[in-house]
Amino acid sequence: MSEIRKHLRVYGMFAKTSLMQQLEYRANFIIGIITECAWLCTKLLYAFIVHRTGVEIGGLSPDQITLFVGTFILLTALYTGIFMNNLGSIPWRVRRGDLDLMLVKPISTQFHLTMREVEFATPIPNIIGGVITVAVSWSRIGLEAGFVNIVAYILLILLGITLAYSFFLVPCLLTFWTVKVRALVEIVYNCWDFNSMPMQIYGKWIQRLGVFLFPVFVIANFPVMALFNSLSPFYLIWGLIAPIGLFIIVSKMFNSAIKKYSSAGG
Amino acid sequence: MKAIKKYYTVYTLAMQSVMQYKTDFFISLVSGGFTIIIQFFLWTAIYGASENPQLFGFEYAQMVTYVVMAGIMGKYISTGFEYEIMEDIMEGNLNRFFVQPIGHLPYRLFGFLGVKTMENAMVILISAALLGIIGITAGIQYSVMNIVLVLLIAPFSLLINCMLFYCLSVTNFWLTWGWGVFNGARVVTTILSGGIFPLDVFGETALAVLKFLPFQYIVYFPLSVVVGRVTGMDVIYGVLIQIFWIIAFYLLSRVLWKIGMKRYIAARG
Repeated sequence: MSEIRKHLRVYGMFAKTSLMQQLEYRANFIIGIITECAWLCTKLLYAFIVHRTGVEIGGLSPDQITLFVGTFILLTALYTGIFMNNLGSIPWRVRRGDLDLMLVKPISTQFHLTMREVEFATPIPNIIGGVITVAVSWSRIGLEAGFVNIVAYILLILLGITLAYSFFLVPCLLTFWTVKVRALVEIVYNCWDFNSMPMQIYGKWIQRLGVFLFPVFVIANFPVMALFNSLSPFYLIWGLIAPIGLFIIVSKMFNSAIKKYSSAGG
Repeated sequence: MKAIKKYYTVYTLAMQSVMQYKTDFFISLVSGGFTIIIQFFLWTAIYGASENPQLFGFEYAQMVTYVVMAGIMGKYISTGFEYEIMEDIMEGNLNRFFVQPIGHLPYRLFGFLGVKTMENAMVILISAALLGIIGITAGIQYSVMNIVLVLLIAPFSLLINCMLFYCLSVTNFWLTWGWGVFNGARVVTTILSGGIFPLDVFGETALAVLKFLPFQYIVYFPLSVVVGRVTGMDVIYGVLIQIFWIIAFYLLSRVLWKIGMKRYIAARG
């Protein structure tokens, strides 16, 4: 328990120093927010299109599809704020030998390497846009905002972000074995956008691949499907097991990877 | 003649350099491919669920062709030299253009065109393959004339985008780190040029306003020719407007650079 408290306190310090660093260049910080607003518009465009056509896709009304889009935006905020920069910088941190110092610190190296930086500019528009989109579509659908619904939704979002962390960390860890992983990291990262729409729009085989083999649909689709009671018991169990299971596997992989670390130029 | 020779050398050297960055090019193609897949399934689902065979004035085959080709067109018109100009300004590399008998704009432009010649040859081949696949699976017969026309129009689209970003690169004289400006401008340009969805989805009013802006002549206009929504004299009018925007951006870039150069301090140069 004291270890968790210690890591939480360290994380608070990481967040504070990250914010101070980012506010040092205020123009960039503001431009970052404006740029993300433009990206937010592209995400909302999909919901806008569905509303303009007014059709039901896979039994989902335009408002229900908008709830998927809103959840995707919220998860994008969490992922970009907490993990994206950290995971993206792993290959060059390993190449530059930045881990030398991390390895001797009295905290988890995995925690230090993958959560060192907290991004503030990018998540701001996504959190605001995501919360508004979710709230408006939630109320238009007439979903009950009961305790159970909200807790289940938040729990699956947290599991989704845990899964995203583990899923996107895997290609980055390959950098410990081979230097050239940039192509793989970027290609895997671009899978994120598959969550921008409900998985019902894809064919059965893509759905199966996206749930079981490359579980991207579990990240942002499952929380909303749970709200609509359209998660089968099997999917629900998978939604609980996959994030925890993959996290354990990735942590073990991290421990093996770190043994391959040979410092700068090594 | 000497001027042509030196810029031709820049052009050929840039063509050769593409092979060094073939991994980057491959990544961007695959990444763009994901967006195309999402769009394809989205529109297939929408048309499948709609009782109306036409949405926003597009039939299914036209819409699928448009969104798939929009993804490809995004690659065709993409720039990237703006980051090099940012470094030129930050690192003081512009100094060499004061002493060397070479202009900054033609140097960057010919270098860019050299890179794009190689990349776009690949893009055109992929487009041909995709059009063939869509044509066979959706039973569409494309007009050969439209395809030839778009091959002639697309370079003008590329030049508009190129000159637009050349103008934007001047912001680095003030910002020193214009990464965010370029990214933001890229997203806005993509949306307003019809690079994600055809502009018709925004409604008549937006379409009327966008006619007075350069963006739609980058993606929407050439792709409207491909799907047969712009024909005859309208194609010629469209090309003339494209040429107008290229000249306008060229002149604007000259003025902006003159103002920007007054702030240039040759840091680290």
